[in-house]
Amino acid sequence: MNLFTIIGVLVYYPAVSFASALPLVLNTWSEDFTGATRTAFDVISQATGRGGRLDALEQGLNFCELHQCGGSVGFGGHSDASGEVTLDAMVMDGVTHDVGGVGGLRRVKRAVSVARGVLEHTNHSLLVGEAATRFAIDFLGFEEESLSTPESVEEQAAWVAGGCQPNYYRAFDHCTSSCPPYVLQAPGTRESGTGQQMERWGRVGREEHRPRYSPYVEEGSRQQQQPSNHDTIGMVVVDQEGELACGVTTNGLGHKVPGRVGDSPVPGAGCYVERGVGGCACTGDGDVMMRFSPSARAVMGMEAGMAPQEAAEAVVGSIARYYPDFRGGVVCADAGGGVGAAAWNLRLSFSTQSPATEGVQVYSVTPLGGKRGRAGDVARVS
Amino acid sequence: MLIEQYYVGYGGFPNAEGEMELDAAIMCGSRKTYGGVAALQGVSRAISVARRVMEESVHSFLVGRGASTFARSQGFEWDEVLSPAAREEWLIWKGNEGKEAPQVDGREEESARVPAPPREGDAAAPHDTVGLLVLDAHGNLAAGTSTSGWRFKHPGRVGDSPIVGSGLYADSAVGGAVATGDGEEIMRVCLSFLVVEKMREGLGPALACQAGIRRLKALISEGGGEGERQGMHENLTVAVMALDKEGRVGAASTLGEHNRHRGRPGFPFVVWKEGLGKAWVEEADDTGTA
Repeated sequence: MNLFTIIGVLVYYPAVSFASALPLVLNTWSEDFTGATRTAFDVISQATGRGGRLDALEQGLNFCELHQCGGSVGFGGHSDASGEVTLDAMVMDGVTHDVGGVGGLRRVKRAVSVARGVLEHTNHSLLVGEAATRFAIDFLGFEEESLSTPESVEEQAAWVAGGCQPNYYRAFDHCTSSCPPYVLQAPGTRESGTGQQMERWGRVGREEHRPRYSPYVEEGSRQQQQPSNHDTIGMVVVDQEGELACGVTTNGLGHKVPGRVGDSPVPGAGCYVERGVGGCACTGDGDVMMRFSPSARAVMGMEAGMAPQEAAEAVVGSIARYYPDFRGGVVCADAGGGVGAAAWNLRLSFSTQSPATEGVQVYSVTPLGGKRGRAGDVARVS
Repeated sequence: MLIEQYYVGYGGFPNAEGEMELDAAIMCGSRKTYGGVAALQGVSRAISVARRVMEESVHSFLVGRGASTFARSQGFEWDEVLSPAAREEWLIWKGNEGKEAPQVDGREEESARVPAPPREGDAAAPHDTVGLLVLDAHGNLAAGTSTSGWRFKHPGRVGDSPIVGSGLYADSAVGGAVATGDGEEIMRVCLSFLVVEKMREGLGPALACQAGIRRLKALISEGGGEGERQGMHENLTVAVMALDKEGRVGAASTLGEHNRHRGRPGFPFVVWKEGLGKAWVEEADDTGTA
């Protein structure tokens, strides 16, 4: 598959209908991320039931958390503007729709295991911040450890040395030229009113001090040299009986505003599963994507009869109509083991493993639209 | 009761450690912009911070200490969000060691440190989120929610209210919805988003809300063939209301004669329309209302 298909050309990406037996593991990205696919498959091929599905997700996602897949999962990458690495993760079971999530988790490496702990050992669905860390350590017995590494400290130092540019702060004095903290701009000089966000996104390309809206935007740093410069790992697991579960884990955007939580731990955004239908997971600009509950929408599309490929494309298209500059992708699997994926402004890849694939199989996804493409181009005729 | 209990902002109940943690979110349906804050401390006007997140931040959702720091940088001053009356209630609860029910499974010995949710059906312990839907003269829809969350909740717990798709959703091309009640249950099905999608399929607001509630009830009665659903809400208490782009309203809830809330068998909501001069109250029970 040609990765470099000219952006903006309407590409009909052949509807993916990889016939595959169950169990199935579907996972975002390739390269080191495939280790997670393999790990999860090894578990799910030996187990069924909710415990089996959650084990597969947890061990698969732990693989990437501990191997720092792509530098964007787990510790030691993408610290926030204060220099601290924080993690977001979620798991969801398709049978009961039980959800466990953590946002802004600090000082604990295996975020998805904490998310599972929230699912199994609390009546809650989402814990955030320092309190999530306390829960992990005091109740679940997780080890408290720094999530920084010499690499992440060095990356942060380089960013600070460069005047903390680019960053995600807006409408503060000197936020485009120096490091935080900042002082709010005087009211008279400030943009105000509603609808700024759309304008802001539309303006991205023209700004000299362009904020790095996503980890995919090239910048003259370590990011550029990294072959797998992408973020969230999202996984859907279908067991031998066709029951589903999904999970997500990430360290979020590099230099994010402290406290920022993206789509990953948000049910319906980071991932979503529906018994007897399928499951989807998302990766990309979480700040934008979460406004569309993209995973839930794709699953509802499949429920209404769409193939996984169609459902993924429909969601990506609907987001692009509002935010043509966004970067992101959706991967979907149905309960029968069919898979599909779509991406926008992003060279998404994904991997699957099932008894039919003989090991991990990797696919690349041609973006439906790109920088110069018009949003309307995405509407693929099925 | 020492205070009239409302689970919103100042005067709401603190978490198990006696700290106020507020959740709020706002969404505009025309450009699909959204801002949310969760576990926000030290600022009463959580919805205003959420709006700043929407309008002044590239991000959509800020939580915990970072949310407070952001609020401070946006000029919000430190408020004492915990009211003296709520603090007194918390002290009484704490004196009882929060023993109503252990919230963390398998760790009963820890229950003294762990908050318990109010018992279901306990009329003295209602839970409410304020949710608002607005349609302007130009057809722009917006949705907003704000809450202090469960009484004496586990610190850091976030319910549906600030979660886009669960607590609120708005799409000016279709309609908007907001949910209230058992947040953990609402999040299972992305209830507000589900209701908006039902309206997109052509259902009116009332029917869409009923469809959403039916879906949630079905999921919970299925309970999962493999048992062990992790629900904290044996007696499902959820309500959802919707407003479509034509200005029609509807709501549905799980409340009824057998599941009263604040002593009422229905979910009351208030409607105000231009030209009609005054607001009126409607009520939705488990059969919904038009």
